[in-house]
Amino acid sequence: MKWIRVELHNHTIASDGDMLPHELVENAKVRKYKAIAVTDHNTTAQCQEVIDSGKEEGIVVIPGIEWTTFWGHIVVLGGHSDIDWRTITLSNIDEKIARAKELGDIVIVAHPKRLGTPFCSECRFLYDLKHWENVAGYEVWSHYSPFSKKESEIAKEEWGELLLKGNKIAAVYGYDWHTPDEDGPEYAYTYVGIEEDTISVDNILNAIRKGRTYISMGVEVNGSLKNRSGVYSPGDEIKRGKYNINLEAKVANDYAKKYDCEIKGVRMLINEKVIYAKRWHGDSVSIPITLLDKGIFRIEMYGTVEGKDGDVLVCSPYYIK
Amino acid sequence: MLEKIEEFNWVVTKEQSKKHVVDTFEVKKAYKKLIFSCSYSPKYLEDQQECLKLMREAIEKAGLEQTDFSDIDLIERVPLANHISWSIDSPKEWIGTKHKHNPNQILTISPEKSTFGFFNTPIYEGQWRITASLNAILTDEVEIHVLVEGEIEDEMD
Repeated sequence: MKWIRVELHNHTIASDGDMLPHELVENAKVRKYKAIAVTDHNTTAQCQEVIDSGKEEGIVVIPGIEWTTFWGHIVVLGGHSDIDWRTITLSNIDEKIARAKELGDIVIVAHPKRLGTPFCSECRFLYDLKHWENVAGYEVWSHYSPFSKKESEIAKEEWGELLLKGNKIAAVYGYDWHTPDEDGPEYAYTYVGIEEDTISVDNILNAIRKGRTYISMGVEVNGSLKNRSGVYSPGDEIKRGKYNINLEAKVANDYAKKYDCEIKGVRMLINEKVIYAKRWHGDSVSIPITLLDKGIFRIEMYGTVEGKDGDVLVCSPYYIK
Repeated sequence: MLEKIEEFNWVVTKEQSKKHVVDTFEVKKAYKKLIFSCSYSPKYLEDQQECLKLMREAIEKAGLEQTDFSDIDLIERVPLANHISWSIDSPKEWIGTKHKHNPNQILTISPEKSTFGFFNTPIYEGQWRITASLNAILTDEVEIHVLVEGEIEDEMD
């Protein structure tokens, strides 16, 4: 599996962003994204221009939109949806999301726990979804300094509750990129695990559907969860039993040049309870682990960024059958 | 040359926040482009006490600790902003939405170069629609003004 750096939540001047379509792509190239989505508020009018710029610069561009409704924001990726955002209400939201999924798009809940109006118009997710199974991703982290803020802590808690209820939802970071802000506060990355040789829109969306993601403060991981029957990736269903986890992790060089990020330790959770924690020394660890309980199994790393403590990596779960 | 097609004046209240205001107008000839001059006022809720009250209410609704937000931090966010976004529909389809924070915007719709956020489209004759989406109305009232003009060929062209 090849883990690629992506950003799935971006704006241009088609909505309230500052970047022209080609500027978004150029800035994305500087940040070494292999793929970006274009998700302007309630419009897809500039998607093709961003896609065309992406082709010139060698970056895959996923067409999308951010449904910026009166009760929350939802990132819809794929470019298939024909839904008029103005028709979305508290009572029909499940139907609209199901429709987007049916048409081939994936749906990501955006910055669910950000303070809403009057701080940020309708930014907080107020919908009471009945069908979370139609949601592919959840912005566990969002915007600046996500590793250490209360909003992320609350969002991760809700995401965990959704997972415990049996939903399979990938962890996603949403930069919600509006301005180039090269010297701005710390941001994070979403990494998507691609099984195919080619990085394409379909392959990325399929990987997110399968839950093959992790989010990090520039920490890049290669790892495996193995037993005698095979090797497993985040998002996979696995059986109860004994496994060995091998993890190699380091802070990406380009990120380390901007921000001081240090990995302090790794922890593992079953059903959102920490079952194992170990200080991080060197570049890799090998950990034998026995997974006895049915439910979800996740890996996280903690550390510091610019001297502040917090999570530096959150991986989407494995599902223990 | 610009020709006036329609003018709308609406007054909305904070109780109408999270609602759409929709109206229609007829395009009766083959214009080169349509120009929408959209504005609203006031942009800001200036009353510091009212702003603090709204922010404190939002913090409480979000289940966050009030003590995490000092009055000094919150006062830095005053004034708070009203926000309205604009959508345009031709007789055939939705053309786009502009979600931007500037209270004064000129939106152009044309076959070759519409304003960012809108698709290029022929200026069809028939009934068009303008929607003001009231994303956040914090002041007691907001006055909204929309002037719709069509550009016609100059005789010299």
